[in-house]
Amino acid sequence: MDPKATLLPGMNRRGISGFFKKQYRMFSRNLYLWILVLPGIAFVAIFYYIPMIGISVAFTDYKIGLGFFQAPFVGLQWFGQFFQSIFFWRLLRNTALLGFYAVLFGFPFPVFFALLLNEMKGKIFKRTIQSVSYLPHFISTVIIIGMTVTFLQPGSGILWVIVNFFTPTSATLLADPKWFRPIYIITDIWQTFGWNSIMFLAALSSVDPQLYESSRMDGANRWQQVWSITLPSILPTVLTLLILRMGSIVDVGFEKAYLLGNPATYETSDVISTYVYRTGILNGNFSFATAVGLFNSAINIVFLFIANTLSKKFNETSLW
Amino acid sequence: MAMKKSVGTVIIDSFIGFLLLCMGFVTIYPFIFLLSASVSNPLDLIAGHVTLLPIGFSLNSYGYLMHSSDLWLAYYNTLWYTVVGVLVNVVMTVVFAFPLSRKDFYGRSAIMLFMAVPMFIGGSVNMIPSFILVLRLGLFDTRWAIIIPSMMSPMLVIMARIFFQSTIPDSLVEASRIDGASELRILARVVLPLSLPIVSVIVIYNIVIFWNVYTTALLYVPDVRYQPLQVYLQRILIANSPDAKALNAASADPSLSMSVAYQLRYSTIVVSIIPIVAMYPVLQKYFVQGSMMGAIKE
Repeated sequence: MDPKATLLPGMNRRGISGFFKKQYRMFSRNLYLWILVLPGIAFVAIFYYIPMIGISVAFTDYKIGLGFFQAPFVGLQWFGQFFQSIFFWRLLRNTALLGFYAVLFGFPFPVFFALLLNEMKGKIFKRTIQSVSYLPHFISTVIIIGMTVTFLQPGSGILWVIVNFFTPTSATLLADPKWFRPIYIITDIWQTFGWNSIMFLAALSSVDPQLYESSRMDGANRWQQVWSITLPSILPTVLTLLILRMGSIVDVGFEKAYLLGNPATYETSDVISTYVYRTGILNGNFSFATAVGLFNSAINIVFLFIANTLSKKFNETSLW
Repeated sequence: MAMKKSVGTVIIDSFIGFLLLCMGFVTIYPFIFLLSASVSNPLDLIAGHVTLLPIGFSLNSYGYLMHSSDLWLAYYNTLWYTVVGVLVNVVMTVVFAFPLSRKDFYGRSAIMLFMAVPMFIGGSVNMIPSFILVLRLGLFDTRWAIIIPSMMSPMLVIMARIFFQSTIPDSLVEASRIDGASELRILARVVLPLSLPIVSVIVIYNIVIFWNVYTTALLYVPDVRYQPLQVYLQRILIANSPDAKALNAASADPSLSMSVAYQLRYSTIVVSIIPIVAMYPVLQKYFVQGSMMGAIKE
């Protein structure tokens, strides 16, 4: 019996106390199932909800050893301090640019790759290429950056040799702020293009083959088929994923920026998340760092709204 | 349908094939190079002669790595985190997802919502509050700081729930209930034997998560005795502080020390990605399956 179906009539017949009795009966009937979900609920409450409440330290003067609510309230002091700090514009620029370039250069690759694979007939060849392209997804960021550092060793690293061939350089590229963004984005594309193509391949495989059949009858050539059948049918998937990416444009992950950056390149490599780590964890300014993180979340939401509105306006695709 | 291919089609097909081959090669090349570099003659390697296949042959750098107790301690720690993390996650995820998949479970949609809301609040804002939480719980600088905050992931709970809903017939659960089996017994004796695919997905996802764990260790576990492999690798490969014990083993032959120090980077990487690469066919299969399950949800 579906509990929901009887919930409202029960409420009508017996009033409020009947409603609670009904709730209690439903609850007690599933008592054993409730015991099973209890550890999961406790986990979510402790490790997801308590940190959420803990964001309130952004508005207090938190000192180590205190509980979340034991610190004195200071209002927007940390936000003001951050907006006036010399790091504010640099962090905002670095984070937004890195996120923006990653989408601009990184987003088209998986789409292009999926389209190429879709045009390919040989099954074994296709599958081999696909398998190979997923591999870097499973390798840790530490190893990706470790490989990058190793391959860029001046004098003997294979990438250094290649770069040096085109633009003679003796300096370590990793200590040069100009090179941080290109290295970050190229390695990012290398690591993710295969894996990110999965969604597009799934969308491509659901295109009705009869469409191609009938267009061929009408004399459409291959390019026309791609242009008027393949592309329109994956457009909703592409746009939805693009909105999601746009929404996280200023949400540059900590791990990679932290591992690839170093003090010599902070001019371009220091992003909000790495700054939160340095000021918060390393220097112990917990409240200030949380305020910086909260500011980051706020701009994330703004970007998500902008992307969604634009998409609704021009393409009638939106997340909500 | 037999259709004769035109010359244009053949040219386009081979061009596409060529492009795909290039993309595949660029992806696989670093891995081939790593392996070749790690077994080449170190002097050729440091001179930049190695490009694709090994030049000369020497397993010495692997021999020196054998002496590095730091590497093997980190390796052991990562194995420990992976085994314990996988076990804990499987139990937590299955036990939590099973009631949520039951139509007769009163309150399941409320719990789903409760779990889904925090998935939208992420990023750097959580770093400090989570750090404070780990401190206050007394987990800081213990092995459990890596395991307990990652005991369960909402995404896998959602996948498991979808799996139970779509593959375990309600009538089967109902029948066992009438036979007088308790819920835990139904889960263990009736549902689990039918759930091998989803349990494999949970195991495989968590193997990758725990093998590659870095940030939580960086934040919560400063004690070198408990640090996982990725933290060791960061020290060796990125912070450029070569493994003293491995170098010490290599110093028996001073003429090679520079080049061996360089080659150790390659063999260290190879040693640390071997488990992932060896499991790759399985990993790939279950990850693709998992990502498709997630896509149904969207």
